[in-house]
Amino acid sequence: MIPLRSPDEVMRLSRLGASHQTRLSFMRTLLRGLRRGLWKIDRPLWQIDANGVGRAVYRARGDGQCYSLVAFGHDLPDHLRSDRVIAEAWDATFALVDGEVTNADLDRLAANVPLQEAGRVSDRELVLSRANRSVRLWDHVVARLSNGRQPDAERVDNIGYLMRTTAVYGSGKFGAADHAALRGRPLFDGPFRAEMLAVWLIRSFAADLVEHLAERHGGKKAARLSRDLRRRLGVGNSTGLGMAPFLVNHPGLLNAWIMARETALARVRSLPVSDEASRTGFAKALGCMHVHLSSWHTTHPIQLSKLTDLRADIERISRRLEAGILQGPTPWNALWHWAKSALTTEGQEMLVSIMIEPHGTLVDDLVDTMGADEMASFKIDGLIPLTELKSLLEKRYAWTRTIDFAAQEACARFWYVSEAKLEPRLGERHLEPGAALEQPLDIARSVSALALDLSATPNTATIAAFLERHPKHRRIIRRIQMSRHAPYGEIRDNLIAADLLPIDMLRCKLAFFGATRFDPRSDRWLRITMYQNAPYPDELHAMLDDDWILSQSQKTNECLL
Amino acid sequence: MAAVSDAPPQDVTVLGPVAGPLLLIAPGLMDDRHVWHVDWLSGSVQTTTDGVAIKGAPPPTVAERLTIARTGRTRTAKPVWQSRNVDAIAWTKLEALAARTYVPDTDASRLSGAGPADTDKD
Repeated sequence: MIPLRSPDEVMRLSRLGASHQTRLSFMRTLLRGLRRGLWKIDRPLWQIDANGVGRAVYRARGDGQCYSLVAFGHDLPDHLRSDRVIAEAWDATFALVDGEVTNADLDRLAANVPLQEAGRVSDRELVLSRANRSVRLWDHVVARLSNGRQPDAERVDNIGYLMRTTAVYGSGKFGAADHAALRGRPLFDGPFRAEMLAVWLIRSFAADLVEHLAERHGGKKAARLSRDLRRRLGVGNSTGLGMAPFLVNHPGLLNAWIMARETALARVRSLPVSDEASRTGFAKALGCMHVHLSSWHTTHPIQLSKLTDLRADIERISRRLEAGILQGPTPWNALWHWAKSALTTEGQEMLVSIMIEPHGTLVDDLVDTMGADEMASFKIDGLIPLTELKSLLEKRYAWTRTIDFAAQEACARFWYVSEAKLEPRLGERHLEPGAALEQPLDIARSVSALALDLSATPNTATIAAFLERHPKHRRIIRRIQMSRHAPYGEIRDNLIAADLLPIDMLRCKLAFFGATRFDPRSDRWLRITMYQNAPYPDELHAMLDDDWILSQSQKTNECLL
Repeated sequence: MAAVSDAPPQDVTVLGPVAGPLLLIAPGLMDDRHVWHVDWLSGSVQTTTDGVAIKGAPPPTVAERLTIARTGRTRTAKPVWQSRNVDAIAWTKLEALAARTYVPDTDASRLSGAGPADTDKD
């Protein structure tokens, strides 16, 4: 097989910040699992009034398991609506419960879930979440439907969601069950599956709620959303800095995700020939990417420029296809080599996604490799000699040597947790107080400090002896030892540099979730869309293939190809 | 050695004098395949399925001589996700300890630390 792309190429922030969803992304994996297990979804409870206040339960059953999404609707004054972590009230709040819920469960959750971080759930709960209505779309859709009309299709496409989650907490948060509790379960044996199920059911709640309010306001003349427009509505999400520390604090997981995607790419590139089905699938994916661009809106200058690049890159790939690049030997590798010099980073990473897309039978097994037992490599092995540590440092962290940490701009930023609802924030080290309490995300600087002390210690010493004298390096040495089997576990950039763009880290993680339409609102938070065009529960088993991500309703006719 | 390395001892290790002998049980808490004993003559501590059990006299500030032993017998670890009953006083103390790492909130940090506040809805 053709070798995988090197970590020096893949793990740069500029490239991670150009990540796209693939068929290995978690939303797609979840829906494939739900289909495979013939899961049944119903709504055993709906007690919502004319203002959207009340409770509802969505229940998913299959593979011998049952999960219940408990939803609470609230009447939120406009002035309290905020996507920030520091918000204290929301339009709707949710918990995903392991099993059926009783009335006692509902009362217990009603006393806690609406409070979110200030409440407490139990280890029967797997996910805690909340969402706000889209100010741009919600009232428009309710008004139109209550008058018997459909909402404006262009507006629906441009905004893409009725509700936007502002946090989806899982694994052990606020009393919820740890991820370990789900290990080995058929649908949930992988990262973020429970969270993805919760979001998918929240999408149903949002669509049901908007129709319910329209019916309460419009009475008999009210319409329901057309199936086509309903499908075009996903769930929005506002994502802030909280995701960035996760990527740094879980090098084993990050490695597993990137390794799976890179292995998929290498397998496709290694194919000796292309068949008709994969060529057609690729052309469809490319054409729909072009259509997708028409509803990918942003006002952020960096993303605007990337979208311009992407548009031009799609044209270039189309011309290359017409020239027959997929007809020769090792066609996908030929396409890839051409792309490396002909396309922008954004275009290259989009190409990764659509090259993998038509090769499900070749790559879908990699989904099972995307978890990681990080505790297994947590222990520091003190008996290892420093020569071995130095050689690992050279192999995995040579990139840190190019950074001069004596320069102010190299350590201009510091990551911290604010006392305000523990909101993760990024500060300016030389301008504001708080750096003494910085979070240890300064990986490159820590490596640099370690290298200095190592250079003054004889090679014959063990790690234990070195740490006895320099205990402050304990954390970074553990990390370096973890990198032995995790070549893609480290972002190879300075995470406290003046020119750091945190949105690159957020986009990387969100792409693995399966998010689309990245819309940065600043350098440190962005909006995205999830499950747009995905089937609803009543459509899941009628779906012919796992190609919902490519479906673009009637607009597909405008595809280039 | 055990104080600076997480590597398990080779079955039995004799040390001394050692300050804070109770701390030497910490690596054992991460080892779900063996039972660890730290014995300071007048008492001992042993890993259990969900923590530690102290027997005999409480640990001295400095133990003149102690033994760390690791048995080959597998201890059946209770899944960590079931251990949710935390003593309220301990919880409050832990929260206070964690709070020492939080940076005080200011108007400036609220505005710039996580993104502009005036466009956080749509």
